[in-house]
Amino acid sequence: MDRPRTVITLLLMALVGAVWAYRDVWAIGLVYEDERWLSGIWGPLEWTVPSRALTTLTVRWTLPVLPWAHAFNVGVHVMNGVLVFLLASGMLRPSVAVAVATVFLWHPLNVEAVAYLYGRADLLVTTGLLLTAIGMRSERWPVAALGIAVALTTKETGLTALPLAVLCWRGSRVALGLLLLAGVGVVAGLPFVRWAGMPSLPWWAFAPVQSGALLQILTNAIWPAHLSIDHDALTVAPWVRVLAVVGLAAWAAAVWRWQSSPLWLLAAWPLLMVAPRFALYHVETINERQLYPAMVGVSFLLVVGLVRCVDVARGYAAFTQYQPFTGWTVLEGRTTT
Amino acid sequence: MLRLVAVIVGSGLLLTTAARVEVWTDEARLWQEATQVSPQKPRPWVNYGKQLALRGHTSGAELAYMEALRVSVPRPERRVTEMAAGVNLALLTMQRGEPEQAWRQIQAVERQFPRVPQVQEIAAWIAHAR
Repeated sequence: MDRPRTVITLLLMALVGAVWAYRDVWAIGLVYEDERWLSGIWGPLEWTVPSRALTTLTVRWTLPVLPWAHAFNVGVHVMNGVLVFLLASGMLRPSVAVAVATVFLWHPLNVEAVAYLYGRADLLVTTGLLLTAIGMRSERWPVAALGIAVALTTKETGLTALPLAVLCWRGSRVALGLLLLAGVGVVAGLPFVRWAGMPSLPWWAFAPVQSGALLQILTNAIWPAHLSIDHDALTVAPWVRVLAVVGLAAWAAAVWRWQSSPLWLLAAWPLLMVAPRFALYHVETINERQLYPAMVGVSFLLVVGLVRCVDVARGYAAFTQYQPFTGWTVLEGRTTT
Repeated sequence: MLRLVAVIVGSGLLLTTAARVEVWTDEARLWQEATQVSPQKPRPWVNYGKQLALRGHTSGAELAYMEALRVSVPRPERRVTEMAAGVNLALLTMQRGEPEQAWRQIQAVERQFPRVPQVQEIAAWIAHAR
């Protein structure tokens, strides 16, 4: 399974499968917020940091032909799939890395970001973040610099590229990264609260609602039966919200505890990607499109978890035959050994 | 065993994604599914009603707007949607040729949102058309 030819064939199958799954994307028109958003993109571009200038530019290039604009989104998604494979192949067996990329490419939770023109920013910011991670981990600085530049000019949450770069550079810097993230997130978030002009909740009241919303959507990562363009976070029971806050705290604690493990980046990724949504504490809660960058880490965790379960099952079977279970067999990373 | 699991999971993901993309090609269906996932949220009902109205299904649209008003709760983030549902319902009633009923509906909206220019404009238009 790990022979180069097999791996490339499997990756190509994953890419072709993704294009097949999105074959109807050409028939999608302008949906929901598209018209309002597109009416405001023709003014002078503001190349501030962070901004959506690059996203706006790509929309201007592709929009005259709507099917082409949607095809561009599919193209970026496919490219992101390749980048997920490149990132994963630095940490996992090649066949497992292909599985991670396949889950990312084929997961229905990503449909909103790809099918919705307004989701372009989430697709492109993920490209930037993946380039940042790949560049920093392999110490290819131009790639990392390009990634940071792309992330910072495609969506405001691209600021996450800075702590991500710290996290990826020569091992685990979780504490520093999270501290940086918290600072950057709060500083970046406050102006948006004012610009949005929406009634805002105090942070302590918003955090449990946002955690509940996150849990509500993340259940679709495991069992995608309740996909929707508009989730209702207010129907999440208060005790579930508390549970979600505790769960996120436990997740962060686990990342802290196991920062020497190769798993730390995989586990930290989704936390990093959703962190800005906690700084932007106006009343809108997270939606499926905004979860797209986090789905990179979620795809890692789903595949590694599944493979680990099968390994454990095999391990128990081996144990009954007096053959000791050898432990972790997934993360035989090329760069971490 | 791992390969079998991978094939089953992979096929499931791929087919679900293809089905979900198909839903996105029809905005009415997209919002209809949203009303099923979030039946207590007014926004999916308003947007579903709008899509039905655009397709000429006025009775269905009316039901959707009324449902939006029913599930609206007095929370700041939902007031705008509640207003949209009320205004859309009044416009739909006007379209059906019942200006008196539309007038009552827009007055109810005006009482809740007294200083919103868009509501005032539509109320003035309905008052003129009565």
